Amino acid sequence: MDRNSQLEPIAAAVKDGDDEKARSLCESALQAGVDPREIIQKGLSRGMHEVGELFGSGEMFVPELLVAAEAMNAGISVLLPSLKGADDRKKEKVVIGVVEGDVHGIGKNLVKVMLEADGFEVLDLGFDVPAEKFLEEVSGSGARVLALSTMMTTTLPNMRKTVELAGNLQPKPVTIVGGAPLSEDLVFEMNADGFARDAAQAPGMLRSVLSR
Amino acid sequence: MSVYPRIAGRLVRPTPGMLKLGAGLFALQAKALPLLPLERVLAALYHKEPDRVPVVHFLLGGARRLTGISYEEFSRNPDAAVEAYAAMTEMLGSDAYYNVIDLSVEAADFGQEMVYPSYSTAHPNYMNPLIKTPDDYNRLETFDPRTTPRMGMVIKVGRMLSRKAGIKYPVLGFCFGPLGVLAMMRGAQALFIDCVRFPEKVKVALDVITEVLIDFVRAQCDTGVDGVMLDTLFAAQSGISRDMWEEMEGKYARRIADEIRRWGALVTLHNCGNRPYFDLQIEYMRPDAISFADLPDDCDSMRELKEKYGGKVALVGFVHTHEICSKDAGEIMEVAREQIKALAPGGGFILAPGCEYPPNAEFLNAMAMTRAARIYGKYPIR
Ligand code: B12
Repeated sequence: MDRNSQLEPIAAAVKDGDDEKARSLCESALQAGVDPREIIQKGLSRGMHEVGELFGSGEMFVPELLVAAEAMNAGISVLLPSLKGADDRKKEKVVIGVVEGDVHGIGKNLVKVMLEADGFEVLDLGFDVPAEKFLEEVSGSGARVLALSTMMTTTLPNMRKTVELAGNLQPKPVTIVGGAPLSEDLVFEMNADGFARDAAQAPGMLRSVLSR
Repeated sequence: MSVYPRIAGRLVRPTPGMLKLGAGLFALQAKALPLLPLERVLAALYHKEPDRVPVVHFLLGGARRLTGISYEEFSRNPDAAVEAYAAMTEMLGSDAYYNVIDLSVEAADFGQEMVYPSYSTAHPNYMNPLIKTPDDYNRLETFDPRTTPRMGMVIKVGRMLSRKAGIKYPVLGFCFGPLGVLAMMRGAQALFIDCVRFPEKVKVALDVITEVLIDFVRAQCDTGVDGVMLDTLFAAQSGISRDMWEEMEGKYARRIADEIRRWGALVTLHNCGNRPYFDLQIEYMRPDAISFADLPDDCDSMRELKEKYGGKVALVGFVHTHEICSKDAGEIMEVAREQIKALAPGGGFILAPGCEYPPNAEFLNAMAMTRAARIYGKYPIR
């Protein structure tokens, strides 16, 4: 069997949200001697990217994206033991969360999934997270990126405050933000480094910000 | 309103035909005299031109600020809630009373643990959802909503508001849709996943919830409210796919809407999602009006919206809550003017925010909406 015919079904299993299948296909691919990084890149991640694109264009919806993420994670859990050592590249760490006063967590979770699919290590603080907690986690973990989400106009001030306080940290993290009430203007005004309208665009945006 | 007579214990309401006739008469009267809010709303709902565009503000818990009570009092004490609502309606010049306490009323009575903050809306304790695993869906049990604390309070408030409204104001009850109620007990994200993986388990809970909600709207109708607003929030592109909505909510919501209609009350919908599915919601619930925050998934402009749906339902909207928070009064008047120009000709339009008026936002923008309705919303619209 050639590589592609082994990895394509993995991508398809992710798209279908079939976690059992994703797991067993990853196992077979490993046994066949495929490099686990390749399984991630050309199988699991690729599936997740396709899902992200369909979501961005309105052809797939939140529930399907969430189960695709579960399938991806099921596959990754199989690969994890063989990745230790094999994957010696250091992953870029991202601290993510929804700002204080806001419990809308779905958008943030989707962004997390897409970042993970793209090879970032994401530390998730959940929702309703006070600014201080974000700063503590960034300092403690040595993460270079802080990603903030909010869906409410009323909690924008808390986002602004968190971005501002993060600006005083040494070293200063790269801050990216997202959520429906944001606009390019607001993002510029609050001095964040990056912004994306939807989860599918988040990894590309972050990579370009990091390479600046 | 409270003037419906009761025969053999049952409220007797005008038939849709009579209401339509009344709406026509109010429209005639409007050419010479200002209308009462109830007359204005009725004319608009039946696609006639009233004296001016009616306006409602959906200022819910935020109304507590006018009477100086805490959020908790607003959420738990019917007298305090009614007083806050009445004060707010009067101050802002709203054209209707509505009876929405918060989105967790139904879930709380199923047993979901709640949090009652002093300065924001009551909500479930998200750390302790009632439904923790897919196997918990079959644990829900039916009950009589007249006897439980939160739904019981809504019913009581409905009765009090109807009495207070007299023939001046229409009164609108509220009921969160079955999937929304379930989201408050499971968490929206986990529920979404379960809808894909274990739809049959989820449906067991939806059946039970629907039974209770049918009883809930029946009890609300019996208080004399003129209509009940059903919130089917997930019927939008920001929620779930069209197919999934039909399967997981449409069928259930239809039964609730039918019950409201059976008691002679108006069926209205609320959906604050992005790109809502108007056609599906109309097919399943046959509403008299839809309150919305974004253009439907099959319309790209207000003009298209008016053409496609303006004749089928009354449109209630849609000053975005983000704008209410970020724009000044002059800008809000402009937004309202555009919407009135596109959606109000021929009636069938009520100016309103796309969703709950942000509870801690300035009142000035709410007043600007009233002013826009009075100035730009005068019929005939120019
Ligand atoms: C579902 C929903 C809920 C659910 C939330 C479930 C959950 N666990 O998340 C429930 C029912 C619990 C809820 C509660 C409330 N809600 Co609500 N809710 C919504 C709704 C309908 C959809 C939000 C959503 O999930 N969208 C889908 C996701 C996928 O999209 P998204 O969040 O935009 O995320 C995408 C992008 O923005 C971006 N993104 C997001 N974050 C980030 C971060 C980064 C770094 C990047 C790069 C990108 C990015 O990528 C994501 C994926 O593509 C919106 C309406 C709407 N039109 O959006 C209202 C809405 C957000 N809610 C609103 C309100 C007012 C409330 C309540 C206060 C109501 C109340 N009075 O009780 C409470 C909030 C309590 C609180 N303290 O937070 C208002 C907010 C208005 C405002 N003030 O600005 C909205 C806008 C409704 C409206 N039209 O007025 N809500």
